Amino acid sequence: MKISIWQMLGDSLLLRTTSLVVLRDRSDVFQRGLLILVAVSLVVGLVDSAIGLVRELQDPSPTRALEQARAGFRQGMEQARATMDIPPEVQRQIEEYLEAALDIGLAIAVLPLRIPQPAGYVLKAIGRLLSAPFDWLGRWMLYTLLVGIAAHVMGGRASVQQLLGLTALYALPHLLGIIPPLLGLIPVAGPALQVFTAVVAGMAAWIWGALVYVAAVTVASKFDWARGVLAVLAPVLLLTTLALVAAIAGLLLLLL
Amino acid sequence: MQDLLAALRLCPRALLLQDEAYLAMRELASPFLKGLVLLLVVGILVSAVTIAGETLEWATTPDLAAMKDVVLQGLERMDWYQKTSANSPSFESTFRQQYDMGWRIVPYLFGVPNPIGAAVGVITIPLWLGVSWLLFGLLGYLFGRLLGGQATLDQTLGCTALAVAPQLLGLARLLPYVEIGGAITIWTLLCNYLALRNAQRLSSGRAFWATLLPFILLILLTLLLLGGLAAGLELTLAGGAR
Repeated sequence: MKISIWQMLGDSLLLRTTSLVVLRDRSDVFQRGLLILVAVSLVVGLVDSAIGLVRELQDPSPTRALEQARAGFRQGMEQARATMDIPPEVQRQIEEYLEAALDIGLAIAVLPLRIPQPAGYVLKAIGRLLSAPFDWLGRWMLYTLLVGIAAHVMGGRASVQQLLGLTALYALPHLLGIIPPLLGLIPVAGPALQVFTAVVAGMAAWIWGALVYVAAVTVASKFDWARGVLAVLAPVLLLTTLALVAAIAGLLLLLL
Repeated sequence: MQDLLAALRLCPRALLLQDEAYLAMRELASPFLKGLVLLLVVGILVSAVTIAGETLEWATTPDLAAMKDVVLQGLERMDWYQKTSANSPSFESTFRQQYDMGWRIVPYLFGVPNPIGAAVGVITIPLWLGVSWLLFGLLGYLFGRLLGGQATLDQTLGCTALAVAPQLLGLARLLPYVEIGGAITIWTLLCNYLALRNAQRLSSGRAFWATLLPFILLILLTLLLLGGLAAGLELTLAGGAR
């Protein structure tokens, strides 16, 4: 059975497992999944990098950013003074250290560079863009490796290539991540709307991505949904249990 | 030569976790030698490319000596510095000594661009790749055989050399500010698993243990070594105290 790439992407997003089964049985399953994950991370990274670059080129002076940081810090200190009981001496010291750190930061930011600054901004934007896939790859591979171990213990017989190739589709809903920065380009959209959109889009992408991930593990390992969910949660549960045991053991050692 | 080129061509396929690449390496004549050449080519290529990236990054950062002076001036303006130097005449020279020493080490620990360090990598990176390959290959061979594997040492080392393929991702460091993170390490681990599975013709479960056991053994040996060193140091100190 042959299906087009678009149908496969659409079906994955709608959690239809037929396309996932077709992809699982292809010999280039890892290659395809990898390509999708890299493409999505590059699209999201491109929007972030491009917008960041445009902002830096529009206002190349680092002074404004540091002065904004100084204003934010002073505002934070005012709030802390109003709500907390900080001794005046401690307050004075915190203020002195942070003001000095900002002055040092400002002085470093205006130091001359070996090549003109616009080139630096462009290179940094390209670096940010190319780093995005590696960031995604590292986290996805590590977690999938742990899920793969759990799935094998639970009787799953997916190959590494099948598991990685299918779970890579979790990246698709994360395309929602391009909405908040693009919204920031619209002058009427205020910061509150941007933050709200970022939170909603982030949560939607995360939940939708997790569902696609579970579907992928279920199909790759030939599990039912319950076992698929358990395999996906197993690394989190195991790590949480280990952390709890370590914390309780630490507490007992302290008390005894 | 033809065989060597064939081994090099296997690298991208090994990166894409294709079992056939590892099986093909297993069947080549003298896979160890081909693996060694492959490892050196990849190591030198990636480290050479890193020099370009580091140099570009260095060019987009301010002079380190100027940064050091700016930070020192900032510290000298601070209240605590002025009070301490007024109370203790030797403070300034002692502080300056420690400050200079700190600037010789700390910036490089935090990834300050260092083209000279990157140039040294042309020797150290292939060397490190070679040592870790030999160590893992040998232990992987031993554990693989213990678990019922059927490969020779030559075949095992040839296949595990293909697991150097993820290092090719380091070619992205041709451009500055590219952060690769842990992706290479995990990908290499997966390639090593496939290398042992295909070289030794092991089942998935056995290949998993053959891949993991060398790391467990190395961690245990390191802990034992550190424990021994600590015990030795304690005994020396106790002897000195007496």
